[in-house]
Amino acid sequence: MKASKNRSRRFSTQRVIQTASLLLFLYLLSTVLFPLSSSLPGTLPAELFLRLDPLVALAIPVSARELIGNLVPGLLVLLSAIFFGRVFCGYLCPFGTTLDFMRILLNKIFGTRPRRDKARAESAGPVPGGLKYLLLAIILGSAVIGVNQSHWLAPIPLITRFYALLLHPLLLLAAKSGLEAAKTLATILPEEMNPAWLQYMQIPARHFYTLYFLLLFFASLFWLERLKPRFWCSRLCPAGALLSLLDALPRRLFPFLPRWGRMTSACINCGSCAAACPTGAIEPAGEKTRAGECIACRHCAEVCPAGAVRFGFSASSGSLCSTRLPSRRFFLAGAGAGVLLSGTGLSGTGNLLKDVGQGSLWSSSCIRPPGSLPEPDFLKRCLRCGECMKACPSNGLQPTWFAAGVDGAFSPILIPRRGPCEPDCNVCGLVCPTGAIQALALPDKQQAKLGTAVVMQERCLAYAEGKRCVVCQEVCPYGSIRLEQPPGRPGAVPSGVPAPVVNPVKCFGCGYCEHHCPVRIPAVVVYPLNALRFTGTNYRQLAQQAGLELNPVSGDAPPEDYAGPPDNSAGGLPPGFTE
Amino acid sequence: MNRRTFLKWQMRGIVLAGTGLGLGNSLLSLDALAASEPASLQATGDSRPDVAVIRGDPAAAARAAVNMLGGMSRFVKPGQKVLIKPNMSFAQTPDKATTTHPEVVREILVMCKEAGAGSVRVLDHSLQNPALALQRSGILDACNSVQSGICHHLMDADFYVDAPLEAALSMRENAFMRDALEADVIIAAPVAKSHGSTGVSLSLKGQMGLILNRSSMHSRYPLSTSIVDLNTKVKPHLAVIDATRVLSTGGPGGPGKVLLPGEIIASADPVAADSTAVASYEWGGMRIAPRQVAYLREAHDRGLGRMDIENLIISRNTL
Repeated sequence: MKASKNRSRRFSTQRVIQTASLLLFLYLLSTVLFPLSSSLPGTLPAELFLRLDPLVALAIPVSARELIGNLVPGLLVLLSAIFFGRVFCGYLCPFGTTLDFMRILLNKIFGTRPRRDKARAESAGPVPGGLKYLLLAIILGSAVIGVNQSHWLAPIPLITRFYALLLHPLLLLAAKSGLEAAKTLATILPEEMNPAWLQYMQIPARHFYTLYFLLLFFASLFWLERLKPRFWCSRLCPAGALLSLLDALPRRLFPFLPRWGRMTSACINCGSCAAACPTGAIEPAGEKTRAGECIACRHCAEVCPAGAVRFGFSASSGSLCSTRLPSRRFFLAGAGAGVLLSGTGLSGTGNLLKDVGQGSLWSSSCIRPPGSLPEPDFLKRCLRCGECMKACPSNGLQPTWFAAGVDGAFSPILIPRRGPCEPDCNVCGLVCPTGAIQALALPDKQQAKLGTAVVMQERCLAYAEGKRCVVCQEVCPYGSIRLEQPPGRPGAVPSGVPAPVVNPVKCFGCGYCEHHCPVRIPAVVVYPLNALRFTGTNYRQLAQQAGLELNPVSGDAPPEDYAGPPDNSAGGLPPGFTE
Repeated sequence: MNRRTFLKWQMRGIVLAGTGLGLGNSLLSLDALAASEPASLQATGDSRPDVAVIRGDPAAAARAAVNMLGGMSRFVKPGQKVLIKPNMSFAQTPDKATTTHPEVVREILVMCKEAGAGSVRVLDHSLQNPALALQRSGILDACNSVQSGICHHLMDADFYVDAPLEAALSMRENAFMRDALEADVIIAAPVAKSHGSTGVSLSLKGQMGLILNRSSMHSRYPLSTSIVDLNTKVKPHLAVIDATRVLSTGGPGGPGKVLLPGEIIASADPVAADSTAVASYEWGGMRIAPRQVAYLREAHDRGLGRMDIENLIISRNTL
């Protein structure tokens, strides 16, 4: 009996759709890399699921004060709740599916905990899962005064970050260990059976900041899954709360609005369904469904001994739904808390990091990806989904803790020491779902200056120690570093040693120099100086107007007829030669 | 007419004859080629020049230059492990002159296979995005057209093993590409280009692609000394310098002035090959002597090879 029930669960329509949806999500995420594949099935965008997040679709345009075409699908998901309730949560949301699978996995490992759902359902307070409405109100209240706080709790960005930044690097690490083992095993084979492709296979390592936050966040949720299935979905998720509202509110105003959902007929009031419901969406007696909580997972239909539960369209929603929502006062208080919270952020000194006016502050390490909107607009749109960081081929794009202030937590910055910005890559902008990083054509991206490299003469090998190095000039993909041969310092630094000088007009700020600088604490550092941050995609024109001459050496332009360095103390020899 | 001039004239004839044969050979199978090449057309014994300089199409010139030195079979014995070290460290097309011409790399690879090499690898350690560099330099495709799976940038530290440099003066240890330590024959196939800190980057300097930690060569040791140290460990047995294009200024990454000598310089002595390249072309609009390159001077003084090319037999020919 139990076995057959389990089997039916495993192959239920919901499980199949959930699994397919999660696999599609993971497949699309796996295509987020450089070079961006153009062979996605149909025209599915790699960031599809992020565009479906209803909270993102509402909160981001409100805080940015602008309609965002890319996010229209999320608004459609939102509207679908009027007729379908939280079907998105039960079938499509990769976060929810991940929680389901983790619960099954953890229960397999540690055994199922005794269920006390029935007792809990009866003793639940007046507003089950009221916290999620409060969190939603705080986020929307913040959005109203133009501050984006959705990234703390918006489900799809969070689950994207979980897979892209936490799980993917772990899998790579595991694959690397497996590869090492396979290579070792292959060495005992005869040489002709040990293929070259195996010997030379390389699995790159990916490293990211802020992983402990992700680990703590998701480990907590996974643990809560064992106490209460879909704890996140029913108690915390603000996107779920939004769908709940759209499900429940219209029905208050128009009680006869037809709706697809759970229906009972000839209910024997045994309460089995209420005990089995993972989201606590069923009143203890079993007959009534709490609008806004049901995710249509159909557990109830499976456990019903009388076969009294079915799902379908009904106009008589009144008898099926008992609407229990927090009071209006509760919402207003939550929104007020959001205004107060974000208002405090706005009046804090950290907010001046976003400004460019007199008296504003500047974060020397906040190098934004190419084509990023001006900082205030950028933070209003950035979801912290991690797509850009997943895509960055050099692993240089990293989530920051506080380089952009508290309100900029987890947003992407380039850390050139880890990895430079590849001149021939523009993927970060192409996969950004909100346009916080604008999608630029490659010729425009190559003009979207990130900053300027500055030589730290006090520790540069050439200036400070008179050593022959100039690796920075060697690797500069923009040819922006010229060599001079300074007179040296008598008795300390020899003269005539080639030393780097950055031409700010030709420097993109890609960070190849900083990445390769042999000095432990790099002696050439990129600062976000003179970064081009504009709303618009014609960066070629902007760069020209700014007087920049950014020409990647790899480009189509014929090699220039370089005149060579000016005469200098080394007797006019070209750099590097000696008398 | 002294002995050297006489030999030069003699060589010129040999190369021309060999070239005619080489063109015909391309229609034959490789086995037939190896078997049919008359011994008389391979320079042998005393008649070999120290350095061969051939002007012509990249692949044909590379083949002719190696043939002048006695053919690849002088360097590669059947069954040996060969490592070819080109310069493919920059994600740029061949016209930028920052990477070795793909045809040159392919021809060296083909010659190694003809000589019966047990395995041939084409390896480097990229400065720029390795996948882009392999693709854009054209070297990956060129190698794959002969044998796939042998051309790589080894970026992972796992491919490198710590090894002492017994004959070093400054850099006494580093991690070397395992393939470099295990290779029976190392062939340096650099492109000729200027270099901001050392003047030029040629076969000796190019061997920096065989170690893991290049930073210390700049930061910890005198660069010229450590380049020579490096070559006491992994000195190429054959240097084939691609001077079909020469990056005369702005090297090694460019952009800079590109000269088009259309030449290949080959020698069993990498110091002599590098010195010939230095003396043959203008660098930054100037004529430079080999002794003005600090690491060549030091390599000569430490007996790694000869920079006094005026005392060597250099055979220059045009196909």
